[in-house]
Amino acid sequence: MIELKGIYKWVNTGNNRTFLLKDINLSIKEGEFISIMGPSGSGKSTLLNVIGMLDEFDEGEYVFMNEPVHKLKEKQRAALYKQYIGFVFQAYHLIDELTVYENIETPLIYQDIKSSDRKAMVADILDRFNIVGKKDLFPTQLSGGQQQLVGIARALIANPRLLLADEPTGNLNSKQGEEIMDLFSQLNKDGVTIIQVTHSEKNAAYGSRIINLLDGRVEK
Amino acid sequence: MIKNYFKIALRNLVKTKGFSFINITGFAIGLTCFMLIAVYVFNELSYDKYPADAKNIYRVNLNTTGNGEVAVYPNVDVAVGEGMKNALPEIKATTRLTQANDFVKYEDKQFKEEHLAFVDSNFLQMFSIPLIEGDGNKALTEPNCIVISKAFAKKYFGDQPAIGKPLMVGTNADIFKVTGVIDKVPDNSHFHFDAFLSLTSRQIKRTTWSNIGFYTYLLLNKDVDPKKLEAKFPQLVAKYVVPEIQHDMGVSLAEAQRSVNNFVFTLQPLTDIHLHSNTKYELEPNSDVQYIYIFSALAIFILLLACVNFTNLSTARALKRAREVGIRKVLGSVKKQLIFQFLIESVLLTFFAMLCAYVLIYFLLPYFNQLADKNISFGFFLGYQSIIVMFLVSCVAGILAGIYPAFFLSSFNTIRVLKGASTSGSQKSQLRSSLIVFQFFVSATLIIATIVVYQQLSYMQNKKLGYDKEQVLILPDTRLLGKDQDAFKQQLLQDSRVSSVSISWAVPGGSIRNGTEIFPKNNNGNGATIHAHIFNVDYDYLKTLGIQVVQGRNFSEDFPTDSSGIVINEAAVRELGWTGTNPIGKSIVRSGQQELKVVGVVADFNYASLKQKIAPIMLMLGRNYGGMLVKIKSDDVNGFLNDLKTKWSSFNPAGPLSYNFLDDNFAKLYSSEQKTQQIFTAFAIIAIIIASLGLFALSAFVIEQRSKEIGIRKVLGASVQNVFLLVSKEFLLLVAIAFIFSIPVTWWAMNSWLQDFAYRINIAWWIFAATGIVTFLIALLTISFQAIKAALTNPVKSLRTE
Repeated sequence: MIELKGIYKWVNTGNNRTFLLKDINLSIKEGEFISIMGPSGSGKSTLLNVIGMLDEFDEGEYVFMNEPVHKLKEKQRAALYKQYIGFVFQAYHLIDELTVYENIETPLIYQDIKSSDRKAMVADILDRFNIVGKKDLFPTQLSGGQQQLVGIARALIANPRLLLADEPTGNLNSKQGEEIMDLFSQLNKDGVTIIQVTHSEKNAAYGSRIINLLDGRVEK
Repeated sequence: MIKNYFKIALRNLVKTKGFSFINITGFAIGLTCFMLIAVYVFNELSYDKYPADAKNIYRVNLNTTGNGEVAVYPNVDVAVGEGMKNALPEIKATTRLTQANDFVKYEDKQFKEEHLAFVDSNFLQMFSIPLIEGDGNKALTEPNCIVISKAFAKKYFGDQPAIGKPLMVGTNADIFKVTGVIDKVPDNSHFHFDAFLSLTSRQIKRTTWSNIGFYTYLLLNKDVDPKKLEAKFPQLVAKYVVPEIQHDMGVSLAEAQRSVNNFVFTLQPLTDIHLHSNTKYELEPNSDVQYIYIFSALAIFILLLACVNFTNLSTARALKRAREVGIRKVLGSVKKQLIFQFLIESVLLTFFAMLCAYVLIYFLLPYFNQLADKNISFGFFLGYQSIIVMFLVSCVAGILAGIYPAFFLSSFNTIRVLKGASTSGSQKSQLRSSLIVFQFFVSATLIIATIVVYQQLSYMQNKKLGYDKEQVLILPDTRLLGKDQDAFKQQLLQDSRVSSVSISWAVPGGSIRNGTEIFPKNNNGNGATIHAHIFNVDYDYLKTLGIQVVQGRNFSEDFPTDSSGIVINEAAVRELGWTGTNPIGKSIVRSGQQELKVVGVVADFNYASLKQKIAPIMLMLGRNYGGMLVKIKSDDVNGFLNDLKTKWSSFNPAGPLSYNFLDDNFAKLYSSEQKTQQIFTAFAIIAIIIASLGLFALSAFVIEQRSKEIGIRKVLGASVQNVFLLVSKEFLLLVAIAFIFSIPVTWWAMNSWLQDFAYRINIAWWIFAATGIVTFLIALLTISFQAIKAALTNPVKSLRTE
């Protein structure tokens, strides 16, 4: 599903070049549950963003679902991304002005899905996540765990093949965190490929494989 | 998707009430101004387009050159129109009009009518003014026929039918029969007469070309080039005008032939009259296309000011929207969709403003009508054309205001904003600074303009005019007393409240139309012929008006020879080339015939508007029928007027007493300048309000963003003053730059405006200084609300939230 070959990413500060990612070679198959670990500043989030096509890289090859991402134009990349990838954030990043229902619906709007279909899909996922009663509330009226649940629901609404999660439990207490991780396991069993960035050994253990990063490199 | 955009746009408007309020207010004011002025301009441009053949109708103007000056007359002599039509096949028809004002009487109702006109029988057809009663083809053919307006008919006949009723016009018992009723002359016409009388009633026998007095309109055949037609007029001048000049002026044929060059008939398109014709003798004071340009520019500027507020506040607020932009991008939105979303927000905002603008227009319309001297109903704004214009203007304003913020916001880097990094450009922005400069530039410019106009106006109203205009009552119609004028004067003089009375028609500030060519007798050296106005006065004229005699003496009954004596003003002395000599006892020759001897010289006095230079005048005794000037010395003006009416009636005059005050007359001379001043004041206030609203909100945002910095500075020991200065400095600098820009612009613009006035103020440095201080203070006051709040905030608070 994902092939990274010799990925480099750097920023130039004055005469110095600081590497954020250094020679990353990675192969991820469909159905895997990967945990990316490493100390702060080791490049975990950068790697996740590169995989999620939110960030560019400076050198290397990236093949996603047999498409060479490094050769695609922005529009094609956006289409690819919209179709296959869902994102979950540590800070949830729900739109405060929209209700739970509308937040979940938004990705579908950008994918030009018909209103009646949208309704059915959102209703379905609300039901699946057991948050039907909260659908008309605004994010600020929810607890952190509930907000993250909505965030995951939103990431999954368009049936992505790949779920990217950047420290999804970082802002939650341990009980809420456990629930979220259980949910991830369940999703993985249902066939969704998951890549998560985490600090916690315990959460990393949910995954099928752990990738350790240090100073932008994959530790062997 | 659009539904979703609208939803979020609405919620954002509601959520950020302060922001929405300031923007909607700004836009509403801007749109209101824009709409009112658009309607005004539209109305001005529609003048005289109502006749079916408006495009082919031209007025014959006369340009004469004398003393190197060109005088333009909008009217020509009685025979010109018909003569041209007979000679030139390009002319399809011609019609004439000559104004009158007179008393009109029906049974016991008598009024003085100021708006009467004698016209040719085809006049109403040419101007497509339909009769609602009577036969349009024949109504004005016969002598002593009159066509009246509906309101005029109501005034005299009430609800009775008007057709066939006799109206007595004038004081000689001339009876005119009503043969037609029109609704009224359209509002957007360069003339507004209440009644049209058949010109045949005048029984004019002469067929001259060289005089003036008849407004003559030509209807040309389609596709006739007026320039080519004008080129044929000099032949007619040679044929008809030259012999008349030769005869009347007693000059040689060769000299008379020179007048072909000095006596030029031109064609003025009917539709140009209202905005492009400003001669002395217009049927009504016309407007000026200059004002159309100025007002249009002002309307657009005001709207732009409102747009600037939106742009500035939106970019300043960018940080708050940044996260949303990031999330939407992650969720699959492309840039185009985000731009579209933000534009919908700004356009939605302007639509709300549009609704508010309608409310504002509803309440402001009466004041606007008064100011603009128009009669526009609110219904006009509800017509589909107005609504479409309003809609389009709102859209354009919304897009204009929103386009930059939309691009700015949608170009945020997804990852950076989601990480919470502060967005570049959110604190300082070149564009925002330039826009603030622009806003305050417009405001300062308008303030300076307002002060200059005000100064010039009060200069004109307070300048020593050389005569005393206070407490002088003008009775313009004492000719109604006939031979009793002198007796009436004597009776008035017995009243202790009256200090002086003069029988004269020459009222300062009125229109002085009487003039003649004079030259000094036995001239040695300077022998130029000059043009002098003639004032027919009596012995008490100078005394009544307080005009000062500087050399010689006033007319006196002790000198019977004064009937051929004249009193001239200093301007006449100068132009006759008598400076440095004693003019008393010298003679001048009038029109190549009559000799007149100078008995006195009066100081120059401003008998006309201060727009005109004082020209030579000569005062002559006699032929004083017409009006009366009464100088009173009492504060009980109403009591005096009541007694005056009683006295008037006791003479059984042929009409009612009419009166006005000299100082009121005088004030009317400057009504157009007064209007300009009011308009500039209004615009200046609006501009400064919009600019201040924007500055207020902007300073709030910027200070909020800098709250952490301010907190740290306070912890490090900054005083309240330090912080206040820190946050105000930046804005005040921009206001100062704006002010500096406005100085040369207004200096140039207002000086060219002042060129219209022969007597004018110099633009003093303190006007700029005062404007600078006022603008600065307003800006300071606006910012200080936020700045003081920031300076007084406990730093622990702002730092803790970080």
